Amino acid sequence: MKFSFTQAARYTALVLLVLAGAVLLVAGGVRYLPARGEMPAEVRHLPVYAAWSFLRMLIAYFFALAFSIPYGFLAATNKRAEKVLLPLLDILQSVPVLGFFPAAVFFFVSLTHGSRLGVEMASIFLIFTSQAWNIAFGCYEALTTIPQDSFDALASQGVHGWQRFRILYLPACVPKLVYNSILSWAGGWYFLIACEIISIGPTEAALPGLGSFLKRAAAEGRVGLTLTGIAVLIAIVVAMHLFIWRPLESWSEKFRYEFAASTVAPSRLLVFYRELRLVAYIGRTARRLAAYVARQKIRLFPPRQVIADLEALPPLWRRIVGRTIGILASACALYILVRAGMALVVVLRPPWPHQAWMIPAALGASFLRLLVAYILALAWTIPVAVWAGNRPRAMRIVGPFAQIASSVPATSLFPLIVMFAIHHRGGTNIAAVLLVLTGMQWYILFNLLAGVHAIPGDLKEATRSLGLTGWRAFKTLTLPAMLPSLITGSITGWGGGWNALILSEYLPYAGKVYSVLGIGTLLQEATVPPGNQAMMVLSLVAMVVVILLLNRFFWRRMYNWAADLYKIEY
Amino acid sequence: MPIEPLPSTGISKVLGLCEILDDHQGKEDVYRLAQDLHMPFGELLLVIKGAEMLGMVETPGGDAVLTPLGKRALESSMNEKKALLRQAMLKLKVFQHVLKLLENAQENEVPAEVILEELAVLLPQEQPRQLFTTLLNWGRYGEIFGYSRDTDQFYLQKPEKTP
Amino acid sequence: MPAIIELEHITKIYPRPEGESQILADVSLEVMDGEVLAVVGPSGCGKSTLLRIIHGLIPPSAGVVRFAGRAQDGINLSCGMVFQSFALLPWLTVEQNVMVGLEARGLDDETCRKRAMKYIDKVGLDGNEEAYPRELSGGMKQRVGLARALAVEPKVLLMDEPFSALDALTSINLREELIDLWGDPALPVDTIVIVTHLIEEAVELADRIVVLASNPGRIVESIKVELPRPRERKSPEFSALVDRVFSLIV
Ligand SMILES: Nc1ncnc2c1ncn2[C@@H]1O[C@H](COP(=O)(O)OP(=O)(O)O)[C@@H](O)[C@H]1O
Ligand SMILES: [Mg+2]
Repeated sequence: MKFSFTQAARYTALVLLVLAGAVLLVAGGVRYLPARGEMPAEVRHLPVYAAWSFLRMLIAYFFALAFSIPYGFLAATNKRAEKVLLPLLDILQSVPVLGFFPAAVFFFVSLTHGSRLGVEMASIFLIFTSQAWNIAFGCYEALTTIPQDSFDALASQGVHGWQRFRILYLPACVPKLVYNSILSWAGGWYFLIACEIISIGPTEAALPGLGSFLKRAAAEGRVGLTLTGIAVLIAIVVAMHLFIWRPLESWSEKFRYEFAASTVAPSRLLVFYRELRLVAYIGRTARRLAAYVARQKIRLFPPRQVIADLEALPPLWRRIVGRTIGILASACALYILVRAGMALVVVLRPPWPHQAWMIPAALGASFLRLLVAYILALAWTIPVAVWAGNRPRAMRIVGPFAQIASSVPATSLFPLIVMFAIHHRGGTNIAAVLLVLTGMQWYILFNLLAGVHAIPGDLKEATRSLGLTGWRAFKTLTLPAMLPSLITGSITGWGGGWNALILSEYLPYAGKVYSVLGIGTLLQEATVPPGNQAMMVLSLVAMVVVILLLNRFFWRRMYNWAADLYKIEY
Repeated sequence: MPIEPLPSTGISKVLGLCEILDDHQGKEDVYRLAQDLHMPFGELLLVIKGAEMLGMVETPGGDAVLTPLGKRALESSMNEKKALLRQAMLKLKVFQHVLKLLENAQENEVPAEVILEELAVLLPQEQPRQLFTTLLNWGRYGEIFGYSRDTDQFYLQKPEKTP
Repeated sequence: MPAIIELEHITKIYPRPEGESQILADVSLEVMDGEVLAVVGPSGCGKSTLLRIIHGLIPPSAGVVRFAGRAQDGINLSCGMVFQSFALLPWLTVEQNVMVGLEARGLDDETCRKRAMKYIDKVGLDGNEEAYPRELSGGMKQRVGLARALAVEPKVLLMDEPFSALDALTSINLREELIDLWGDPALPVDTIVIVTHLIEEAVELADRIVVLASNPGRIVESIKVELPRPRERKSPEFSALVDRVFSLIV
């Protein structure tokens, strides 16, 4: 049975093929590739750098998918696994990219003795950490909102195992998968700067890529070069948006449960693609080939059989197999935990470094910066969301614009911000707040737009017919109705803000470092060669604990309160 | 003669109406019917209009009256019923028009957009989207034409299978 | 007529934060081979729960379900079920939705397609094979639900308020067509258990009506419907029976 997964897969494959072709063409310029160790930031290297970065993002993304779908699936379908996996995901999401550095270095770099391949793997792993959690959450959410009747109907028909995964779980994930993938790619680009330069003990390994290019250009204070780099990045982001995300979004509408009219306008490109004769021809040939392969009884991927066999086992055996796998997995997890714990104990053995006493003050200062950025973000996103959310045309412009803007690693803009700010008192602080803002505001905007857009039309009309306009209408209808999405947006926005913090408080610019007291600075300083592991771990743990406490005791309560009070049920 | 638009209602409702009228000895006041069925009056009117266009019901002076054709549809088997309705639909101008368009098209199929534009030209006062949906639903029931969302093509159904 | 389904002292208890709540209390019931049994009762009295226990979709807390004399454990694939919400997968076409259960039974593609077409044809859906559920009206959607349940050729058809989500005209049309279908000797299914909260629907369709009371759900009465078919909805006998069942519910 096909339900046009093939179609989407073919389309994506085609686009990727074209992109890969472009990469190959560009890689013809490989002779420009600098020798290992030196990474000149020059315009003629840009295409090669861009190609490398894209490739890294792509590989990381496939790993993120391969990780997230089973993870979300397990969390959503197994009550016991859910109790462990969900809080774990919460923690993973609140660890900033820098927090994964030690793991990346330990697993990939030291195991491969610092070879280029090892550094590449470490970098891809770091990008992965900025993409994966969000997709896993999306999967989990999509699977837990499948109507009970769908399960019952399939059970009634005798559908189970692999077939159920194929026709129910996987399709039900598609819309969330696509939407969260867009966010994940944006996050990946944003943190690229942090992912392509890896400090290993006393040295630093820089990979050829857009991220390292931007960082280098900024550190050298070359504004023109920075802007060129950003322009290339934006071009890639826009191209992906036009050729991949919009068509996929339009296609994913098919997998939505609610039978309401769609909010996504059909993508011209997808329609165009369907009409392409060549594509139809390739598709037909591929199908014939697949049919041929199937006739030859060559089963490249036999999960259906494997699962059927497993399910055919007598219950006792099935239980034994299941238990064994469970025990082995738990043993592995336990081993890793114990090793990590032992390493922690070693690192954290007193005496603690004297900077450790700065952690509370640093956390406080960082928190204040986030708060200021948050207020600034609200000040502009709420009016924009209210304005655009009620106007479908404006939505169609603001939405994609925000998606693109959110991908720009604003940290690379800091030469401009710094140039402007340094000459003032407290300039570094202003720069830090502005940079945090860039990591925070888009999440809030996305959620607010969705929230305003979802307010039922007749409620808006009722408000208008009662003669409420302007501020009054906002206070009576719009604000309460968008409160739940405001809080969801705030939660993700603060998450993004904490993450951006580590790139915002410590600014190497034109050969000098501008920094302010904050947890981000402490973290960054701990990674500066020769590195200070104890400080790194201490500040990281302190930060994660604060984030988790805030989430548990503030945001979650806010959310429950708002959802209870202001949810519009139809 | 001007082309009449299809009222946006479904075949199941039309058949249900015939069934109800049959319960009432083939004749009932439209206003009473709406009350009995707890149905919005406007919606019932659309159903009656549809039934009338298909020749299953007549509406002399505020009543709805089951025609012999309507009665026959109720008593036929599923496939005979579908054949009857198909005949009735083919007498309608809109169907004839779209049918001709499809017959002249290459491989008897056209993109849905062509049909939408055609409807917009034929019946400028109507909402083309809504009309498209009704036309498609009726046409599918009568096995006159079909539409595939995957290819976005509107096509002529070939009368191949006889059960 | 032998019993095809026997429920013996079925009890269902759900845990609640404020203590357990008993949904069904000691329900014993026999469904005869070849009969149409209607289950009526106020909303929330456990009709859907009872139907799902018969099917084996949820286990009873106590008691036994027998199918053709054998105690049943797990889902009974000799039943087909029709849902109030239609429960179609929005990303599959009509044909694919109907084929779902046939694929699960490991039939080859050709057989699946043929069988699906046969039942699509029987419910009057031919011409709609390529449609997606969201393109269809409620009546057409429920025909897909019916074709899907029939396609696996079950011994017993279970229907959970199949016409409740439809408007009055559509539900009358579907009800009549269901009666026609049931009279078709070529159809393998001849036993139907239909849950409804419309008493007229029960009186029109059923050979026997079981009336449930709530808190906890239990059987108050089982009434044989002796009216000749086809049944006249306007006849005095019909109305009298409707009134009698109504008085048992309130
Ligand atoms: N999974 C469940 N957990 C707890 N209570 C349930 C569950 N399913 C149903 N109930 C409760 O059981 C009662 C009967 O439900 P149901 O069988 O759907 O009633 P009916 O179909 O007669 O309207 C209801 O009060 C409902 O709240
Ligand atoms: Mg129910």
